[in-house]
Amino acid sequence: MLQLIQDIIYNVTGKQGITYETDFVQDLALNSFDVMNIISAFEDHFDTTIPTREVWHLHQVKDVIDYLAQKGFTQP
Amino acid sequence: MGADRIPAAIFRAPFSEGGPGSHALLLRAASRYSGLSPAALGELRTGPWGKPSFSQVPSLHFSLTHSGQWWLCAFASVPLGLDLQIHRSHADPGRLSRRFFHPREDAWLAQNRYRDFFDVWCAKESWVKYTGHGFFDDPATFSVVDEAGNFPALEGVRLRLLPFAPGYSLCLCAREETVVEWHDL
Repeated sequence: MLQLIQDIIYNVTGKQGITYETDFVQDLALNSFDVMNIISAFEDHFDTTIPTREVWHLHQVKDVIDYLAQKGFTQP
Repeated sequence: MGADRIPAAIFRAPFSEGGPGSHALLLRAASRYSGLSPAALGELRTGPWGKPSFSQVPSLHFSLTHSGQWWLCAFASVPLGLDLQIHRSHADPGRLSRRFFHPREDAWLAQNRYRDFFDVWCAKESWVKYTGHGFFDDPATFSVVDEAGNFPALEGVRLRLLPFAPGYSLCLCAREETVVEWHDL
């Protein structure tokens, strides 16, 4: 799953060097537009809709991995 | 300047990896605007939806934003919201608009092949920064295009698209009419 997140973030923002502890705001300086783009990319990948209100609690990459696991999303 | 116009000071600084972080820039700008030392401003705290304020000067209203190579922060005596967005060439405006925007906004944008997508984005984000809710509120539930097709328009506030650098959109949201003063950090 980490590789998928790395690929999506790179494709959307051009940022590299993503680890489990990477913080989207503190480390990558992403803004809301970047986050919405990333959400959209995840939605396309998993063919689902992710409520925007749920993602603002996800600060680090590992939070996203936990969130996706809770929702039952696994990497094809 | 009309008596009912509120001064809003916008500080701008280059923003890049290796340079001063957003927190350091905010402290510097807030000190210059208020005339207070960073210590006198107090701790930076966040409200229930994440909107920041200074513990010792809660009446100091500000809104910061960064995108591309720029960091900006607006200060005023009244609540306000500021959003800057670089025009990202790899973004798909149509897809993002259909997914996240109000149907009226999407229809309005589609008329001009989404040419004004980033202006709409900034207007919407300046509003959610003004309210302090961020995008905890579903962005598709409100529209900055009114029923008559006017943009930017949202009941109860003034949305001002401000000229900035080429390839950027910038919008300031406040209930009051504002007059903007620019400052370089």
